[in-house]
Amino acid sequence: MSVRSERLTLAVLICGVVSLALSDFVSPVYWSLSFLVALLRLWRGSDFHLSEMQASFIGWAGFIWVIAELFLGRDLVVAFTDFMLILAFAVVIEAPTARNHLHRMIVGIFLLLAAAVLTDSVLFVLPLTAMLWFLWRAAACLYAMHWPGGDLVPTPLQHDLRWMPVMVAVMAILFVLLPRFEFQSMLKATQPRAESTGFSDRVTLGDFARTLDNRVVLRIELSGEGGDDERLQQSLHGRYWRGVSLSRFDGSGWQRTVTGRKRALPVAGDVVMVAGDGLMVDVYREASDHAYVQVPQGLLSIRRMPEEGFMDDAGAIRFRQAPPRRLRLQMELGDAAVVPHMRAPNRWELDQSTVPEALFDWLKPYAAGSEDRRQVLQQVAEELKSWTYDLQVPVDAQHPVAAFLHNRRGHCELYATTFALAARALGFPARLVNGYYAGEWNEIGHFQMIRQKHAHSWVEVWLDGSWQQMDVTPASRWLMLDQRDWVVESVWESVKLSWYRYVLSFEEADRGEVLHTALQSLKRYSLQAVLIAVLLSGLYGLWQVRSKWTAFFIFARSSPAWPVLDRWLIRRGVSRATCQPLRAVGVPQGVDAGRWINFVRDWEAQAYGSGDIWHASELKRHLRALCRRC
Amino acid sequence: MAYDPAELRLPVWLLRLLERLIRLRLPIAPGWTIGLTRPGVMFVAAWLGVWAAALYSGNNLLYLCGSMMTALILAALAQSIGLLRRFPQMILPACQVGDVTIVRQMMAAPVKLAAVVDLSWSHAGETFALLARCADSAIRLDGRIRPKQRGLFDLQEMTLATSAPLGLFTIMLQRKHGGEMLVMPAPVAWSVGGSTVLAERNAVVEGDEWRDLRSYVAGDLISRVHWRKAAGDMQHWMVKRFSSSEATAETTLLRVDLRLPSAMDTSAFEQLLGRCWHWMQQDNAQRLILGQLQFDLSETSDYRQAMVAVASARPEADPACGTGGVLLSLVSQS
Repeated sequence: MSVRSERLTLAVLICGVVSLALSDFVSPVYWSLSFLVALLRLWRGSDFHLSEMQASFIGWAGFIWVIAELFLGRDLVVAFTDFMLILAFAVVIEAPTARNHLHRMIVGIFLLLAAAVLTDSVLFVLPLTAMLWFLWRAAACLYAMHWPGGDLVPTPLQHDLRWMPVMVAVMAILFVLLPRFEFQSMLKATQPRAESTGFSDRVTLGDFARTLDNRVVLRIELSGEGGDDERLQQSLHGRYWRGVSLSRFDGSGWQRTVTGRKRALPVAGDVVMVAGDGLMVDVYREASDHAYVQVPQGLLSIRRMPEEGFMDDAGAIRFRQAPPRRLRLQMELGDAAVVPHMRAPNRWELDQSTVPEALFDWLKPYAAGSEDRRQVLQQVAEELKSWTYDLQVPVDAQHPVAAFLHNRRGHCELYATTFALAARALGFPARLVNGYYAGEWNEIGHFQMIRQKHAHSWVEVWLDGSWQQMDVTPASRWLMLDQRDWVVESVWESVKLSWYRYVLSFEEADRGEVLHTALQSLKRYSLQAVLIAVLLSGLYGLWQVRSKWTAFFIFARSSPAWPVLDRWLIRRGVSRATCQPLRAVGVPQGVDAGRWINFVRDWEAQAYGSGDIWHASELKRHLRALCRRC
Repeated sequence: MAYDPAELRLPVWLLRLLERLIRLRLPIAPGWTIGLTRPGVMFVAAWLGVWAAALYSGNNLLYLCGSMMTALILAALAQSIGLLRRFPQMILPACQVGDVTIVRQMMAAPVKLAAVVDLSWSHAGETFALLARCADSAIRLDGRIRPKQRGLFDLQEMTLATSAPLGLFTIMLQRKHGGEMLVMPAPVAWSVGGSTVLAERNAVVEGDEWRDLRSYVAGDLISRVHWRKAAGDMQHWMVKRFSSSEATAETTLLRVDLRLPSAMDTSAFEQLLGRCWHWMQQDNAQRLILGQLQFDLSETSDYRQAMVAVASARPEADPACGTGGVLLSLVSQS
């Protein structure tokens, strides 16, 4: 029993370690150390242990180490998880005592709770369910120990396994039914902010990722159930997602300028860009190191801002600070051609002083060929589109535009920069916009995924009294994207989105909707439900009757040993009715009650269970043994 | 149980607080109460903390953790309640006043659950307790009973309590009818035809051939106990009877006059019943007339009824019916 309790409490602790290991804040060294020691403990048994004093010393040393880590500049949350895992290590290796069992269960639960705040992975459900099982078994095992008269025989595994689905169902029902009161968000599930380039207030040319990053940054799906997925796919196809607009060029990079007033966007407030009806979509934004909201072309409105933010006069929307967790934004999309009202150009957007001389020189042949500046701009765009897209080309930090004009190859930021400066040189106000373009459609989950590799730069030019979007990046840029069509990945992404949608983002409104739908369904299908309930009850009743009939009558009559047993019972002063089970009759005279119960159990095992059926001779042998022991 | 927060070297004040908390009993339904064990106090405290954090933050993963712990609690409570509701009726062995009866019975378990159930009941100022160990489809009742009062007692208000299956909560059920307890009077050795039963028992006999065996009664010579058949409880011990004692115990009919003269103490009446009960345990006892009731002791059912009648006998106004046999009476026959 002690070995069993040792393994079960260790399993509880491992569940906690595994759940915390899912968090990206946790150092793999710490959790793998606890995990490996736990495996060693399982392998070598309780001989592999340290004394309580030594384990306690490890715990204190871990505490001091974590304090030192804080002084060395480690994040508080990371230091906290380090300490928890060092504690787990000490508890794993501690001597197997009753106190150690408690330590393991308490630390295991705390690790799980910490993981609930420090991760939002869909895999969290695995250690959670395993914890439910092992916590139950471990507690039941510890309960059964050290009673007067010895340890209890453990509850059969099958018994507890039957209860497991019931507990999981209760868990799911409670999760849906309990109300949500969102007072604050300190304890909300967090995730590390993904690093990105191009979404800060100052962007240096050449400071960008030179590999195509497959991390998903946005997932877009239809709001509600039963929408038109095909329409969504068509609507999102080739749409630009606007992040930050950069107006001031300083020779080596771009800066954001704020000239007008910022419009505050309160929490839970709506942001209306253009009036009209459109397609409602849910956009799941991953935690990122920038605070910008990716605003799609043709955005009509954003419903219920999840965090406080503001919108600048260039149409960029950003939160007050980069959110540390995934957010769901409900957006209404109109036609991509719909352009929201934005302020007129400022002086930075027409500043020709920062346009390199090399660019003026390069523009001269085009300007000389035509008087129409718009036509020249168009020719420049066509020329740039014919160049080569290259992520690996070296960028001259001092003269990036000149080097680009010389190489005639580069990445989208160089194309956009060159074109924006060319527009300014031609007298058109222009600015650079960083964001995302298009994305991938997930055929399994019917939603759009935008990955980091879809990050893009383009230009907005002030033409005819409005900002016109112009993209001069060669089309070969999009051919570089590996349009992966892996079913497994699509399924996995769909599972993750379902986890975000139905678990992580489940809110009071969703709860109300679920309950309302359930109530409506109940009203609509109440008659069918009653009929099914009656039918199932009837079937269950018939099954019960059949079982009893089989067990107590048919089998009883067919068993060759029953008459022998009945005659023996009568001699011992007990009379049994034909259909009466043996356990319902009294203890025969001269037979010890305990032995009789064992005999009845053996009898039922052969009569109704899987044991071999006794013949008369076997029964007599059992009866003789029963009497001999009396 | 193998896990107890007392093992955690908690401060004394916290242990005192735990002690106070585990004494609390909350009614959850008529006849049902719930309490906490020491591990249960800690678990419930953690459970409340998780729910407070979940409700405060709206973190759905904390909701899942809270739901997991709640599901665990509900399943444990459901199993405890199911066990107590279906706990079988107890059939206690007959006891004797003043004697310690060691109860060790096996019963079929209603559910396959490792559990310990405390059974306790009170009667006439006395408190009795038994322990039922449920495991492997069987229940083993263990305990000692030492009643001080004779009678057939209906065990009303029997309390069943268990903290199974996890040892977190103590569920108690006040069962209206917990079975019956038959308490016989203390047997009193008595004389038949000038030879006391005790003298008969302990009479020196010649030779070592014993005639038959009878049940052991307190006061018997230990040297007469058949030790090879004495494995088990004292109530199953057998005493050898030798041929020389045949002549003293051939009485097969006993008539017991249940009249109690007003000048006599009730202890005399108890002595009378004790003699009757002693006689009933002899092998040659065949017929008993107890007041107005007659019993054929060779019939198992009649014997049981006779025991019940002796245990619940009250003084009567009429003499014993019938004739012949040996008459036990507190009333002078002259």
